Amino acid sequence: MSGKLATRSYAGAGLLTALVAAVVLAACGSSDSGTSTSTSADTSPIKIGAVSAITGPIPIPDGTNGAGAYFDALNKAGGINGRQVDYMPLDDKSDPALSAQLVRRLVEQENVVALAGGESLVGCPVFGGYLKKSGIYDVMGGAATPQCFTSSNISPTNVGLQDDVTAGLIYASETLKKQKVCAAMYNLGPLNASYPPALAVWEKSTGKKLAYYTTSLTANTDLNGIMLKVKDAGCDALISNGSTQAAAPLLKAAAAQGATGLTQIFMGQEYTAGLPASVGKLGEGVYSTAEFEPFTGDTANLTQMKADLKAAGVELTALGQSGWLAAKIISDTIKGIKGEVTKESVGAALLKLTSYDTNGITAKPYSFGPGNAHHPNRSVKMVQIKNGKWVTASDWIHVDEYDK
Amino acid sequence: MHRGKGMVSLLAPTLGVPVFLLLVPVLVSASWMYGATSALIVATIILSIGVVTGHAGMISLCQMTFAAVGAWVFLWLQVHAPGVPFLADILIGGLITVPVGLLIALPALRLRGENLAVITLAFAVALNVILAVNDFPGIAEGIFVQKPAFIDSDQSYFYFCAVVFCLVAGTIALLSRTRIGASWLAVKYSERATAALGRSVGRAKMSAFGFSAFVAGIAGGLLVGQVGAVTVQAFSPLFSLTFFALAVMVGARYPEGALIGGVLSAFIPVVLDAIGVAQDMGDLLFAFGAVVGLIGGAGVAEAIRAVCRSKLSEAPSHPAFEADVGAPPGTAAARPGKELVSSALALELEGLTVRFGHVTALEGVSLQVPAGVVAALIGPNGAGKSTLVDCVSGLIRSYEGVIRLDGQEIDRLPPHRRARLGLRRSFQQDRTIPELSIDQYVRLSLGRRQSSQLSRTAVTEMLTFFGCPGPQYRVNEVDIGTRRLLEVVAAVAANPSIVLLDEPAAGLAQSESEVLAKRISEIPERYGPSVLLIEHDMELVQAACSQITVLDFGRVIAYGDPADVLADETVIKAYLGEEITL
Amino acid sequence: MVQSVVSGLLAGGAYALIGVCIVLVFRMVRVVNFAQAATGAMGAYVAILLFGSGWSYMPAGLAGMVAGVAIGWLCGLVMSQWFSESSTVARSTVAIAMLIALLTLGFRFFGTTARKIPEIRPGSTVNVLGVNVGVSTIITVVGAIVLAFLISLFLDRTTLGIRMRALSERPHAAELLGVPAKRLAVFVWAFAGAISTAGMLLIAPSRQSDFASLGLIVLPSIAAASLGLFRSLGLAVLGGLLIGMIEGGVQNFSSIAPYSDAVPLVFIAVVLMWSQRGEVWDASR
Repeated sequence: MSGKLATRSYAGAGLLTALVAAVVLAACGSSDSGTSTSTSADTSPIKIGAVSAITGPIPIPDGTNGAGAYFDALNKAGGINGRQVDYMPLDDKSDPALSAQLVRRLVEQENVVALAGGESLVGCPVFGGYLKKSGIYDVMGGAATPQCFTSSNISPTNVGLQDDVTAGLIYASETLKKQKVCAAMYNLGPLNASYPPALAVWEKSTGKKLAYYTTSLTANTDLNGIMLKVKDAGCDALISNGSTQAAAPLLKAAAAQGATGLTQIFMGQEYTAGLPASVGKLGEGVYSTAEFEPFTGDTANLTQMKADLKAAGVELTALGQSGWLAAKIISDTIKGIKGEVTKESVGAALLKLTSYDTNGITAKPYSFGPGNAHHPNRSVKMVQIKNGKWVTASDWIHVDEYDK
Repeated sequence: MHRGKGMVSLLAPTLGVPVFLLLVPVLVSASWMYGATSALIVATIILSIGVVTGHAGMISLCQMTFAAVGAWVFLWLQVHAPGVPFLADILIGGLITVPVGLLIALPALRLRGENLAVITLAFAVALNVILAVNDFPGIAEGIFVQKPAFIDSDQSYFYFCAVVFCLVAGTIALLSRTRIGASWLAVKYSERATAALGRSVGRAKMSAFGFSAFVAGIAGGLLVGQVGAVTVQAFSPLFSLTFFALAVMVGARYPEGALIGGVLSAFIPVVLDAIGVAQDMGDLLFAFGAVVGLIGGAGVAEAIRAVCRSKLSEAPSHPAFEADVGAPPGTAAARPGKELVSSALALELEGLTVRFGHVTALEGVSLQVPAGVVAALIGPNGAGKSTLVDCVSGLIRSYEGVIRLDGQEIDRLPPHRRARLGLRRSFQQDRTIPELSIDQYVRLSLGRRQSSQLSRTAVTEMLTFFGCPGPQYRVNEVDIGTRRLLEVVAAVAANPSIVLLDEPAAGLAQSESEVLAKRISEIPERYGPSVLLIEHDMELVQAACSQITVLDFGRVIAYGDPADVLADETVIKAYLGEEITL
Repeated sequence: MVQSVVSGLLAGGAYALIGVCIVLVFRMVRVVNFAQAATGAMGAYVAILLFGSGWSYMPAGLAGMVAGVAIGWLCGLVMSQWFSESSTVARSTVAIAMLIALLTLGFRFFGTTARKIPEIRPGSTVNVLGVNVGVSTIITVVGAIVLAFLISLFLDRTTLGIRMRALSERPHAAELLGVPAKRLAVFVWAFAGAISTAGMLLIAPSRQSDFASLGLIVLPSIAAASLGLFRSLGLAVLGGLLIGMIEGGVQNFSSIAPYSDAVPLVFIAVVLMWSQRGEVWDASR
């Protein structure tokens, strides 16, 4: 017995030593990164970070992938004023504790000058206060929770779940003239706070009510059961906000339950280049909201975006557009800074950014600026699957005009 | 000297942990404080697993769910009772989690091993969905928990969590030295032995789960306090699974093991990032490491402690059974508060009948063991001797007939109550508790008052009398034959009315058996109890006992004086079979 | 209501199939394989990838089952090589570690992009007594029942089956009699890998097909297996179908519909507590 015991304890001691060594190395390694100073002839990289739900229960790597694609192309073309951009997207796995930890790491150890392109589902409530205390600003890629739009230090490029839902409802009832609009939304924890105000805006401006409404969908929900209820309620339009992997099962369930004549409207995160293929024939006629100029169009202002994403091997998705745009905004802002590029100077530049022309990628200009709330993008276009491809189906729907 | 070294090996980790934690903020730069706090909170969760699995041996896959309950209560208090201070919120969160832990302990009374694992996992999933549908208090409104000023910075909150961790670890260390902690370890190894030692199995299991839930609930509160907000994903069943595996790997029983686990979980993602590997590979690495670690045998901390202990203390010497041992310091006092009711019959069985389905194991067995007598119960294999002992000690609940202990009928009582009333037994297979020290093991079988009245010298004397090593050694450092003698010591030390010994000489050499026989014959005189001895060794029986009962096929076939009984033809036939006439 | 219950049968069939795998592995190796559904999900994803690159359904499905076999074989090898003598706690921990590893790898390889999930007869349903039943449902349910029946026959009638039963009841004695314990155990793990892949392929089209959700299907499958106390194949099938139907029925009532994840708990609690109510003492110690 003593032999095995000895082996175990040596293994344990070895594990401990290796661990301590690794931690020490990591600590030393990252503290070497030092502060980012710059002189007029500085060529050191500019550090930009992001905290994003890259893996975890609801993974959305598209935002940081899109931002990364922009930075890659930018670096190839010489960077910002001759300096390369060092982009550091960190994965918080939708764990609030990890999110708080990672943002501290970015700000205190990596000394990033700004955050951009992140799509954290749990981060905003958790590190909003910390960002303010540290004086650092976040051009967020995919904001979800309401706190992301009511923070002094965050201004997202995307529309957000709440306005997405409102836009979808408005399109269904006002443009498509559907009589019985229904909504089957997913239970997304803190994001659930978006649903009641979204509904309220639609009800107030149209005077209509939903024929069927649930916010209880999860990954394990029996979609056949839901579709049965949808059919029983006589819905002719259904809004839903699953992930791209939920699209096919939902459409199948609708078909299986004989809910023909039901127009389905998906939300922005399902607007991806690959979705039509994954849903096949059942997807014909399905709509989705698009928070930016639809990439399936041929408009010139998207050429660079498409090229960058393609070069980086990133799939064309709405969330990816969001990240790309965030990267572009922060880069252009930094380009305009005279003097040192620091957290403070970037922050000052962003506070002065009251109008940024996105060249038609968004309906209205992006803005940061001072104030305790930032929600520059509140407009949505509708896209539809026709002949197995997404096509633009509407002009901009400006949700802020309905939310008076 | 042994005692000193033992103390050192114990004291080192006990003091080492707080000292280490005190030094961390000094050694590590300020920006790591947040991550270090997360490590501490995970370490606290792992401590909770250490209580329920490491100590009590029950698989619980819902620890993060307990933490979720603690977090929920904490948030509720923050939102609805803002006057209650932060620290109280955390404590109350832990306390309210205790009933939830007790609820889960109820299935643990009947479910074991995988069955218990499965039901705890199902509970974790169910509670997870309940929390997902009905959010944590205040989250939808965007609440952000404010810490009181004195622990508001990353560094001060680290110290706060360190204090909590040390308090919890210290409490666990203290508890494990008491009979509650010893009963946890006992339940891990043998529920029957626990009951036979006079401890209630149900209470041991429930206290383990209850305390574990308390610790996890506190960790949940600490987590919310640190982050400021929380989502249900933070308490997902997958985390319960992961932390369970981590706890098994690092040896969650001891605080240093829990710390290793916390550090691993908090800093491996960081290390991976530093070397450019994606976050989720951390989980893969951990899974791989867990399997490799388990191959070597679970519990890094336990292995390290065992090696330290073996290096610092010597192996137990086997005191040869001394042929002549003087009279004990003061003969056994009369059992406090208990007079013998009838004229000194320690044990009486009347018409005992036990049936297992169609098989009748015992039929109409009647037996009397007077006070102060060493009696034997013999019979061929399968005669029902062990069944009788199991029945008398309470492990078999459905039987006919009456059992009287000191004239009092005990048929309604469960085993641990019978043990406490004065009926002790040893087992045929080794049912000692390996992880306890001999002193702890013996004291586990005593009541609280008894234990305080029994000095260490008295225990040592008893141990030497029965040929066992001193009380400072661990039970698992002792060989099997001697361990069975430890059972005898524990039984006798409890000052019972009668001790039932089931083949105590198995595993002893011939010469030792002879001395054991002499010792057993002296038990009534020296320590008080009568003895009912089950044995196959006829020489031992003749040397030790003054009366013999013989069983065959569940019936008493002879009874009386050893010489007479052993010469009885029916008895000989029973052992050797029918004579074959040619 | 009836329609809801029937629509839960597809999931029920999958729980039954995976429940059968869990019973088989438990009988062989005395461990609840927490990673069973994840193994099947890996195999199913291989099939999905191949299908996405142009293979037709059957070959892709078979290739997926081969992948499931490989993963099962690997897990079985690890378990029987190093942990055949270990405690319940250690073995359960290894199974959990395998689950974590598979979830991580699964996510890494298959990512989050939506893929076209192959289906046996896309969209076709049959109308049975006024209720729409998917063809997949029928195949899954019938498949589970037939499989359990065939396995029982195999265990009863063939030499190999009898050897396996000997191994599961008395491992040491069987080894002494010359039954190749390790090889049989690994064989069972591999077989379970194939079956669980089939189960996952049948259920994936109607479920959110991200890897983690598919992997957690293991819990209702474990609940199904618990009906027979992890020992009876037939009861595992029955349990799976029952749980599927109960979950379907629960969906009908909107007040408790969101809590359908809690059905396995209720099921396990009732089954296990009832069957073990007499187990006052731990049977082995």
